[in-house]
This record gives sequence, C-alpha cells and structure tokens, in this order.
Amino acid sequence: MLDEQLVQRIKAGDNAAFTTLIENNQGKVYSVAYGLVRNSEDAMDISQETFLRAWDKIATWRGEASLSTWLCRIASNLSLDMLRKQKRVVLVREIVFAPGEVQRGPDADILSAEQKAELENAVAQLPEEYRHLVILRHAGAMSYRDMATTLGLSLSQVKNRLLRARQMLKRSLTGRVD
Amino acid sequence: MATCKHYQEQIELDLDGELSASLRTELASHLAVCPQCSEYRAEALIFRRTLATGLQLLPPRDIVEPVLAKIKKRRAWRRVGFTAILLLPFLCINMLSAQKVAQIILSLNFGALPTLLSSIWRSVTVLFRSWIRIAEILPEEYWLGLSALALFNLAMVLKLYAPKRVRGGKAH
Repeated sequence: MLDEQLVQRIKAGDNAAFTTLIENNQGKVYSVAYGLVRNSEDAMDISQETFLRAWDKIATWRGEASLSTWLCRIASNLSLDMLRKQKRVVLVREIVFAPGEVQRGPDADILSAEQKAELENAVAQLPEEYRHLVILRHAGAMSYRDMATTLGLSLSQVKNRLLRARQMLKRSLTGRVD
Repeated sequence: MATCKHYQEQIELDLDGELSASLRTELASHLAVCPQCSEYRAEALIFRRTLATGLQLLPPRDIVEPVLAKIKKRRAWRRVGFTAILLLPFLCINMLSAQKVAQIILSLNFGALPTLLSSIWRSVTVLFRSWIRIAEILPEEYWLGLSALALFNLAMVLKLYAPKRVRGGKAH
C-alpha cells in the first residue's frame, strides 16, 4: 500500500491501517532508537512514543519524505532528546549485548555471530557524532538532508563525517567482513 | 584531472543516493575504465549490506498492542474533555431551566403550567440526549466517574433552587 493511501486511512480512523504502519516500520524505528540510546528498554519506550507521536501528528505528514523516514526522524529526535537529558556515558562493555537481549532482523543471518559482535563493537567504538550518523544512515536509511536537520549539521559535515566514519569502521573490521 | 580518491568519494555518495545525475554519468564513465574503482564499488556495496543487516534489529516485544492500547486511552480522554466542553452549555441551560421551574413552583401560578411543562421537557430531553451521546462514545471505566458527576450536578441544582425553609418548616 502506498504511503499516501495508508495516511488517508489512518486519518479516517482506520486502526488496521495504523497497525500496518507499526508492523511495517517497527524494526527500523527500534533499530534507530536502539542504535542511539544503546538500551533495549529505552529503545522500546522510544519506539512506542514514536508511533504515538505519529498517530498524533499524522495530519502534518506532507509526503515530502517517506513515512518510514518520517518515523525514523521522530525516533532519532526522541532518542537524542533522551541522551541529552540523561547525558548518558555509554561504556564500550555495555555495547556487547547480553545473550537474547537483542533480536536481529530477518536478513541478519547473513552475518555470523562473531561478525555481528565485531560489527557492534566497531560501531560502538566510533566517536558519538560518527556513530549517530552510521545508525541514522544504515539502520534508519535517512537521507543526508534528514540527518543534517536531525543532528544540526551542514550537508558537507554529514558527507565528510559519514565518509570518515565508514573508513574507520572498515579499518576496524579489516579482514573480518568479507 | 580527477583522481581515483575523488571517484571513490563519489561512489560513496552514489550508493547513498546523494549523487546528481550528471556526476553519476561521469562516475559511470570512470568505472568503465578503472578496475580499481570498480572493485572499490563492489566492496562498498558488500560493506553497506553488512552494516544494514548487522544494524537492523527487531524489537524484543510486541509494539503494536501497547501502542494501540495507549491510543485507545488517549482517545477516551480526549472524548471526555470534548464532551465536558460540549456539556457546559447544556449544564447552564439545565440550571436556568431549573431556576425557572423553581420560580414557577414557588409562585404557584397555574396559568403558567404550559411554560412549566415545556421547561421541564426541554431540560429533561437535553440532559437525556447529552448522556446518551456520552454513553455511546465513552468506555465503561469512565462511566462511574461521570455518573457521580451527574448526580453531584443534580444535587447542586436541587440544593440551589430548593425552597428555603425557615424555622417552623414554612417555605418562603
């Protein structure tokens, strides 16, 4: 179903349409929230709040970005707000997930468990501003413009930092990712 | 002349969907003749797939049910607020009607009986319709509170407009 049709149905009070919206986007929204706040419970709260905000503000969606991008933008804003409030210092050892804490997406089996852990560690060790960009781009599929708006950066800063972040990740993972 | 490093940056932009059409054409021409950059592009694609699959997670619990439950609650509260605002004028009308009824009863002017009946009828129907409307849209849990509010309202109106008694039990 097209985003426009889905929004029209939600505006008309169709609960099934809103359920579809959640089901289609919960993985992406949760991934962005988890990638930024690094805590499963906080990420769940943010994911729920994201969809509640979406329900509240669905009339403001103008179709300039896809619904999933719009939702990821809400999730990332909520996550960054939470980080600002908590001023949380994330220790590297917190990034190594407890077994069973995190469920991967359907395609995640392409990577071995070892590769996943190494990737997580490599992402976790990036400087915060680089890590946020990697999460927003690769977990949230956000555009440069959306990332720039969300993080308060210029387009060239986004471009350069993302390039550098990926170079750092590649260096960190050299010989580990095929 | 642009170097391979320049084109490799463009490859990154292209894979992110951020390269303009004209630069894409230029990049494609370069890739056609540069095996090193073609290899870089292939590796970059694999790296992106690795990142996307490694960073995509599923929520540990269901999100749909709690979100829908919260939405239901929010809707109910909004209806309560909306209904309360709608009811305010009706409550005012009720009070005015009750005032009129009380005045007529106190004056015992039977010539005004049609006005009296009309006032009572209007008051009762407005109240009845309002509460039927509330019954349709409100979930059960708010009913007790609203019923208590209605009884309180009724009691206040009765107390306000009941004939005042002096010692000896005679009404004014």
